[in-house]
Amino acid sequence: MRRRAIAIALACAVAGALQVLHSIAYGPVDPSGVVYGIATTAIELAALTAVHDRRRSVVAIAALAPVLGVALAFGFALAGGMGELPARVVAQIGLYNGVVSVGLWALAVAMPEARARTVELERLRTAAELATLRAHLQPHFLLNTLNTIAALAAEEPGEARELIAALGDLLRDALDARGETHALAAEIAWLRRYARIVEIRHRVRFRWDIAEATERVHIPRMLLQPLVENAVQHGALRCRDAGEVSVTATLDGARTLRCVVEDNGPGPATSQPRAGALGLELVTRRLELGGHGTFRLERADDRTRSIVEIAELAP
Amino acid sequence: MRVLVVEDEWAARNYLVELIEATGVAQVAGAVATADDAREAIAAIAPDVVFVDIQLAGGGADGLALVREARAPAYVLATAHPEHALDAYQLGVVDYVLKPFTAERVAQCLDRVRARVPARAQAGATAPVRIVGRRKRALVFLRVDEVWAFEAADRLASVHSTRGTFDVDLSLAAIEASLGAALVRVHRNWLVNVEHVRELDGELLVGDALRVPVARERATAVRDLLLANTAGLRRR
Repeated sequence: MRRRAIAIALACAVAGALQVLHSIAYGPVDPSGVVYGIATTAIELAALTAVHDRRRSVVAIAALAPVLGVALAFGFALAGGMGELPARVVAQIGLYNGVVSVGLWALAVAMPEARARTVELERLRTAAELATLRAHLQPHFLLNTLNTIAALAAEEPGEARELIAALGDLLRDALDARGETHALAAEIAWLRRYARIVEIRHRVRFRWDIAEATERVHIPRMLLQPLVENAVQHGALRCRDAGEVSVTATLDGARTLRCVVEDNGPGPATSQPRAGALGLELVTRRLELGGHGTFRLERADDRTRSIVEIAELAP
Repeated sequence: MRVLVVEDEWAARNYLVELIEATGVAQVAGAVATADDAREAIAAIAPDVVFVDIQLAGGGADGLALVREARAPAYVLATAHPEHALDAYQLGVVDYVLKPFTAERVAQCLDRVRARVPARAQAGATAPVRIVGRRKRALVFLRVDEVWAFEAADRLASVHSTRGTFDVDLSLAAIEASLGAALVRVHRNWLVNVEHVRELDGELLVGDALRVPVARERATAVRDLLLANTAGLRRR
């Protein structure tokens, strides 16, 4: 917000300077013209920013500026700030002002913010990948899984081999990951390997209900991973008896993908934030920035649900 | 030395119990999965040393909280990573055993514990071994002579006893490792206390009314073992 205010103030200063130059070119400096320039620029930039925040199209923004410019010019003229100028000239000044404002707004507000968004998206993707790597390749997870393999080697060699294979696949996938998005099917395949390791190590059961239509929908890479991990660590594993995690994906008529990760654990502790909050923050932020999805956490019927809804992306 | 094992993961818990028993210098007096159960078990069975996993179910460092709160003669931390090392030594942790466990690491660790634990504790090795049973959240501590049989089903084990049936947080292999002498494996899923066998008729009748199947390939061995322990029966 502060950055925006500074950018708008700078743009206003530029508009004021333009007015001064304009005045010099035509005679003595006219203070009311400078005030007009600065004030109208400030109002227009604020208005354009507000409209932009409501996700209106660029065309709407471009059309709004001249209309607002003309309206402001007439307002100023009526207040007596334009002397005896004919209406035609007032309209011209307003139009000119509006067009300049669009340019100033694009330079001062829209472009830097778009760039910042791209940079942050990139940063978040990297953060999500790192979180995934940390989760799956962190010493604790690896060493505990190796210990389980050692424990199962004698009595349950089949399960020991399955663990080795799942661990190998996870490592390979973690090192091969490329691109910002991938198909849901790829995300689910990754999650299933992680889930299999958890199933063998703990008394946790996974249920998968992935509608076929959803498999080719593209989602940000590793978006669901923190949700599943959270459901395991802070949900299912806290169950005294059999913990359960279910993952469902459906596609509704409006082509919105809905993924739900549900666990039967005792629910978020009320006294302190769940330790997984950082991972969940990451999910929320990535969806917000992508501009096409929402995330929420629900507690009902003794179950905790993480729900992600995403408008279908082009593959 | 009598050991209590606190480890949330089924396979790791059984493995550690087997490795401790295999050293021959210590006996596992109980094995539980959560810090809450551990508090109760420490009070009930007074172990000489407690092996505890730092990260018990659901992350965090519950194990360390247990070390901080519950008084026991000695603690050994079983962990993937020797973090919190300073904290731990100040709390009186005697040693670490790192994952993945091996017979050698556990043996070394028990040697170190033996050098540090008061002599009283080592003399107490003959105190009766208890079996920790669980029904919902309540724990019971059974003497071996109260046990009729242990039954396994998938990853659940239960103990049938004169006091009823309870869940047990150990595999049959681990139970066999710690109570071996008194028990006989009559079936893949059954360990029976020979003392309580009353009839052999295809299956076994154990205790009051517990019917236990005998695996075909083990039938002869079981029969011979029972007869060897019995006087007054005529061998056909």
